[in-house]
Amino acid sequence: MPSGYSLDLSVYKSQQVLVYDSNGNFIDVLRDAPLLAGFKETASGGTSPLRIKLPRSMDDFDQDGVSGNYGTIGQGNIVKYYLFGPGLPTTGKLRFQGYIDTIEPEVADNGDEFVTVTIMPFSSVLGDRGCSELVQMGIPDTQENYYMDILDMFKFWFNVNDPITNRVFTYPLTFDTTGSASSSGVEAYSAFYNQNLDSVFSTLVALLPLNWFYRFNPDNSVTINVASTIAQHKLYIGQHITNPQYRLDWSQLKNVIVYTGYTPPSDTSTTPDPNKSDPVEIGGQPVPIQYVAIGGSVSTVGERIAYFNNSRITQTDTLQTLAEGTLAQLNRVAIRAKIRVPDYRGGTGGYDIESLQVGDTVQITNPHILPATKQYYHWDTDLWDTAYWDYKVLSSSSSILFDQVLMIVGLDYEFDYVDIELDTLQPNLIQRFYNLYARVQDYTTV
Amino acid sequence: MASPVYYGSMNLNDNVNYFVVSKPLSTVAVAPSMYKVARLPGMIKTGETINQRQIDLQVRILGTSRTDLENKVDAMQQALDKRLQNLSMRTNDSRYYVADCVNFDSGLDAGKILSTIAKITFICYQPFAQAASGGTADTGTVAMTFSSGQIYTSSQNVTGGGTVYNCPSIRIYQRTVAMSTTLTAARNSGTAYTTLAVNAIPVALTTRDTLIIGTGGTTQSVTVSSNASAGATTINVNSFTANATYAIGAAVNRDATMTQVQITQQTDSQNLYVTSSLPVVAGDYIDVNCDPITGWTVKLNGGSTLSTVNGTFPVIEPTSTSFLYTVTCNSNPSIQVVHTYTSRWLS
Repeated sequence: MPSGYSLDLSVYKSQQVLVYDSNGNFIDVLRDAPLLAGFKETASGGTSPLRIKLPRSMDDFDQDGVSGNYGTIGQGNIVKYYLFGPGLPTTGKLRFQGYIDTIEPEVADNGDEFVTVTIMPFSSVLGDRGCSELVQMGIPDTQENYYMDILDMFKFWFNVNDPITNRVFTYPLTFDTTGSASSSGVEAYSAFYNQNLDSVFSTLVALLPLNWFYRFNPDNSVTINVASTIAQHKLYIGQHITNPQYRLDWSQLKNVIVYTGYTPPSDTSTTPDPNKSDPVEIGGQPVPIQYVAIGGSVSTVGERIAYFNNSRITQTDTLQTLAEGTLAQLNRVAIRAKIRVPDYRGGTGGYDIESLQVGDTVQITNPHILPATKQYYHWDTDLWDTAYWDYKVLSSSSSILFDQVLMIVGLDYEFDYVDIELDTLQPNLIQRFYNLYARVQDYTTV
Repeated sequence: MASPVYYGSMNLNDNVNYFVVSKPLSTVAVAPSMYKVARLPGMIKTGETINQRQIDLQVRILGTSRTDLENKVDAMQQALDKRLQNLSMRTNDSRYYVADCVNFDSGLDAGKILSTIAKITFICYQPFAQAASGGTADTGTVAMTFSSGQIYTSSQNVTGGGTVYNCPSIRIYQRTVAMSTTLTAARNSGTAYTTLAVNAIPVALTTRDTLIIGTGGTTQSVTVSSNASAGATTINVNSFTANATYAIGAAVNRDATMTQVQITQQTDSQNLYVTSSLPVVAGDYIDVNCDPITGWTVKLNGGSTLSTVNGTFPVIEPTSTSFLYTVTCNSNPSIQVVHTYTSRWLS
């Protein structure tokens, strides 16, 4: 039963900030740290740094290396934020951790003295780590046995040592075996050379079917999985949401896809090869084969053209499949919603914001709209009930936000609330298309 | 007789030179964190903030002449210029705030030669008044109750007094009496044993106590399997196979090392975990400083090294506050817990 006091952790939330040295030895608590707020988590992306301002003297802020100091403020020290309160473990929920990367003591114009400390999360490996030698996964061949599951490619970077550091490429991050899928079902060949991990992971996600994501967790594990088609969180208008807003965005829409493949030699044989297009020539020099896919929205929004190239594709049929598939992904309106969800800790309503993670799926329900008046927007139905790779947008947007399964693609954390960015789940195309797409994708870079 | 109002050593209400015209009895403002949920009447509260306290006093300064009046104003200003002084205003007790005088506003008006009203503003960075003297709550030596594995518990209730929570200092002593003896029969390497033949043990042993045979680099831990009274020469232990030969005369000591101390303030569901630099032998103690301004630290035996902690440093509420101590220890521990605290008031 709540005590009724203001520090009752069965009602309210509190935090503890612990500082460790780079070897993991405890140093001290940060007793004057502000409440955890002001960082952003992104699906298939890193976590933003956290900048905190400590009310300390410019020349005496417990800096490392000074006799008599505990030395909490030192480059490389690890800072961990634990949260306590209802629904949270008694030992605390680790919500953010990173290492001190910037220290900025200051005396402001008005005489205030403080130290601004930038805490860099370990997702910074995306930009800091990479491969400087050629790494090939699978063998570029038509035989399936030589291809590699995309998830195995992903795990590679968590298991194999970087020759420069003699530690795994992602150290100290670990692969989340519990929360991740065991396999993607998609196999391919891919090669990496002179790329940082951001580029590597972007490539791998692009090889995966739609709605796959990876996520950096506060405990330094990394999860990779596909977004659930069943809503993992249900948020209700009138109960959980402050300031709902959404955007229908056609600005990224592409409805004419020009897909080019390999450049054939000049056609000198007397027997036409039915599998190859007659090479087009400009000035006597052949140009790549191509296929143009055109979406029905050209007549409504006008032509919006995009060009793609994959020099490994030698067959027009394959080009057609890729072009039509790419058209399906790009020939649609992007629905982005941003909502603020206040924390229920405080005892008067709200939602458990500590349970929300990027990659989770959410359904927003407006209980005030009668079921009979709702118009649903079904991705699957509208894609598959026509002969063409086309889509429909409802003229009424009354339910464009509601009663759909949306994925959290961004999360801005503030102690008392979170701002989450939601995006619609993209239509999940047939697996064989992705198998084909993945095998022929050319990601060799130099 | 007027009740004194002191700032430091300066009596602002001595009823001769200085007269406090008015003094506040207010609580400090609470600012709740509130958010508006779309289409929901009212607001959602997620927390609250209490900032500094401002105290405004009006003091009449009375002189016997204009010169005397000005001298008394100077004396008061000099006293108020000191920083972080105790400001006490109550008649019933000596509770006080720690304050700075940040403004002194007065003037000499025409026709008022002998007196002036000074409007004085104090800022109390910590908004609660605190008692002039502290209190303690001492459990004395208590044998902890077995819970499971190597986990033992004991409990205590402490009443903080005042009208708002306080941040205590908690000292936890290891009071498990040391037990040392020596083998009277050797234990040979590779042989299984269920007893230890020893010289008469000076204190009783309890089931689950851990004994360490040997010293230095060659030791073996064994677990007492049944109680042994003081004076016993045979100790029953869980079966073990000697990892080395321990000759007659080898030391046998009880191991009372603590590996974790958990303090649970049950009233407010607060938990603090201490996992390093913990008491080992009788007399060792840890000081848990729960004041966020000067502490939020745990130190062993008054040293400077900080113990590893996680969780919430507990507070004592003004009413009866329930504490549960959970210790992970190699032997049945006895502890003594001493809370030292200063009651606080909302006004």
